[in-house]
Amino acid sequence: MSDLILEMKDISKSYGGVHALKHVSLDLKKGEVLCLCGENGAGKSTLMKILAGVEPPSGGEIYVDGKKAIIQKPLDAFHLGISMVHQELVQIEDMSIAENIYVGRYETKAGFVNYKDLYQKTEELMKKIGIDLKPDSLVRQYNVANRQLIEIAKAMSHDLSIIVFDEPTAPLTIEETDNLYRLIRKLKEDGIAVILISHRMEDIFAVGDRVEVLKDGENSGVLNVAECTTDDIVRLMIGRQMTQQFPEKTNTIGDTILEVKHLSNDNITDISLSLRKGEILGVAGLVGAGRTELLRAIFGVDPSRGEILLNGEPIKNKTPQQGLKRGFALVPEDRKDQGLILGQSILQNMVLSILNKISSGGIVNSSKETGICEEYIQKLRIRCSGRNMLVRMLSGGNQQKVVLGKCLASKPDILLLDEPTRGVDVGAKAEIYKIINNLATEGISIIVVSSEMTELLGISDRILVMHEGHLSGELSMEEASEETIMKYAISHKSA
Amino acid sequence: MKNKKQNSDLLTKLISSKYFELSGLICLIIVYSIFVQVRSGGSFLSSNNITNILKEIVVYGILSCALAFPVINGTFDLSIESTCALGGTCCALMVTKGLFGLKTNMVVAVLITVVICACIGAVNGLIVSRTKIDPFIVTLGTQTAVRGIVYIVCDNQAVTSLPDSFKNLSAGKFLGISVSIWILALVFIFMALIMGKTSYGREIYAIGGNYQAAFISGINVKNVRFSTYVISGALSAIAGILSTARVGSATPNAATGYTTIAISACAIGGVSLGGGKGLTIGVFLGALMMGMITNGMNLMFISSNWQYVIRGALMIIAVFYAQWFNSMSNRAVSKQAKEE
Repeated sequence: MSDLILEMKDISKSYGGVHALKHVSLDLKKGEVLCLCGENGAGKSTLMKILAGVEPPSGGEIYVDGKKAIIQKPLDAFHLGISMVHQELVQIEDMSIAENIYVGRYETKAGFVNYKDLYQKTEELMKKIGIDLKPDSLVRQYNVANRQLIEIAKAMSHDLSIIVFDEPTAPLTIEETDNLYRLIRKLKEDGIAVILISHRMEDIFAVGDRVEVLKDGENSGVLNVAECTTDDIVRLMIGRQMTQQFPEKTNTIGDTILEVKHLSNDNITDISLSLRKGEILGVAGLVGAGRTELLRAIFGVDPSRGEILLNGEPIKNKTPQQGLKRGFALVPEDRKDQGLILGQSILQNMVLSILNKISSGGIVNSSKETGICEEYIQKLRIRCSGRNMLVRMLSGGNQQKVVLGKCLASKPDILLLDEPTRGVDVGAKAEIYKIINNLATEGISIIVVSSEMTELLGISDRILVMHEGHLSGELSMEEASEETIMKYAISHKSA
Repeated sequence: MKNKKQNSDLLTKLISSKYFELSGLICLIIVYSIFVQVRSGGSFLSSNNITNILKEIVVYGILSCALAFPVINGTFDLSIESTCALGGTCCALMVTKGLFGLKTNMVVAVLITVVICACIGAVNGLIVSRTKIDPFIVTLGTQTAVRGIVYIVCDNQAVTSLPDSFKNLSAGKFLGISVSIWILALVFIFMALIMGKTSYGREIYAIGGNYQAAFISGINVKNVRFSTYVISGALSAIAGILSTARVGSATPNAATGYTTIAISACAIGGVSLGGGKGLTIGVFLGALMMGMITNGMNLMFISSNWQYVIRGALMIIAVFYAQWFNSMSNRAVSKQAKEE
């Protein structure tokens, strides 16, 4: 009993009538890595926010080291030795690493910060965890992986007993991920308890000791990592056996519709590919391999050199406007930043690309508009209280469907999908796969970029792999597997 | 039970309606009207005084529209007050001693003035849409520069002895109502039609709501952004001409500080200074409230110094109300959604 560093008992949280957490319990031993899993909206983040003092619980008790703890604000959590490395890193970009780590705790002499001391202290701290960065350099110049390390150093600068990672490996490359695993193991050796929120099974099996699964704001089960399989975890996450997630393929592939030859710009180098009518072409690769940039270049968002043939005719999309006119449509990777106007209604978002088509004399025809909007709300089964509902109020999956609807409303021949199921829960994912398959069956040609290999393997007809801006491989579905994709994704060797 | 459900449906619909956000402002206008009506012994709501208020708000009402276009588009325009002064001065010069030798009749003068000011707007628009300089800085620069041009154009002197055709824009009446009020109404109707009914208006809202998303959705973001400044310049010209007509002379320091009033009117009227949000009727009510403050307090013999204090406080309260209101209606909607 004495080795329990943290116990959370019967934690509940509701937001104005909506129950985010219902009597959730969790315990954590010293020097243990506990993985926290669950679908989006299962309550993982809420639970951790309560632990870190970002949100107060509506009910329940927390014991730290056997003593009852009251955590009302982040400072309370700090004093108890609890630190959190957030998914979206919150750092002051134009300040140095040292200043960021010790922000609010500077040692001063007559009101002036003692920088020499500060840098030295930071240097020692970073050496302890094995980070090799300059304490006086600005945070701005570092990439996500390094910033995460800085954040970890910041957590370590407190007297730390519990550290929470919120989806730490999502933006990292393989090497960086390995590096982080090593660091987590080191923390563990030092007797620090780690809570790791992650979607990725790799993370769980690499560093986890136990897995706590949440579902719909309730405990779903605990497993020992050494004794469980991916299927066990998924079953707890979705509360049922993982059934047919991908639809049976029904699309027939026709003639070549699009040919891209030697496409290059700052982020992609000499990409050539072809796409056929009704085909679903998957594009795999690591984050930063240039997949997003490829789609953006084809659609006309970013400038590029090279040749694009549409039905044999050379074309050049210089703006998204031209892309749309030629029958392209893009579902961007970040729906909140690039796909949607969150503060506006489903209706307003849905017709954004076809405003000219539904207007006569500059005036929007409201019956055409509502007709089209209702058509796609039904076709894509968007769950909402009505077409005037603000997009901000929709769940991730339904938001993504609105982006899809907006693209489909322009009746594209070629649909470019960038991470179409990111941040979407398992149920909505399956629906989106079905939609993609149906669209291809209707004769739309589709290029799908995804970081989830199972997804690409499940829906594609052919898979291209990119590595550092180059095309590193092309795989037929017979050749493609997670291993072969990964091989091409990490090594730049043409097949 | 079913009835209750219907009621709550209706309530949610009402609360989540975009017009309901203006409820606070409308309540304020009503309460304020009653209060001043009682204190002033019944003169506040007389038809004579209401006409006065409307005449009062003509200039900054139109300027509020001029500002609202770029603001809803997600940018800003601080130069409207200088453009307004330039408009008044140019038009007055053309019908009196001549603008660099150019003398003409009233109608042509108005047209030329609108074109000149639209060009000022075009300069703003070009810089804002084609560079990454903050619109705040760009238009602060043009505000100063254009004010300088006004002094150069009028040679540091007020333009006086305007012909009756000019003064009649304010003093003249059509169907018993001042011509300037008719113009005010036309400007607001023009804006309501553009923002509410046209695809162009939708594009303005979309760009203000999310520039990147609008761009990827195939909207010509740069051209739309540019055009909002042209509209802003043209409307400022009209405001300037009406201001000159009302005073009877064009002074080079005219309309100084009017940008602040226009910002207040927009903010009180629910236009989000972050862009993407704002109703024409809200801008009108905001401008009306501004006019009622001045007029009502004059009737109650409250000094103009205090009027500033109250105007400032009101603006902060109004924006606070709008935010509080938004969070309330969001909560109501999400609760409703959860129950379903």
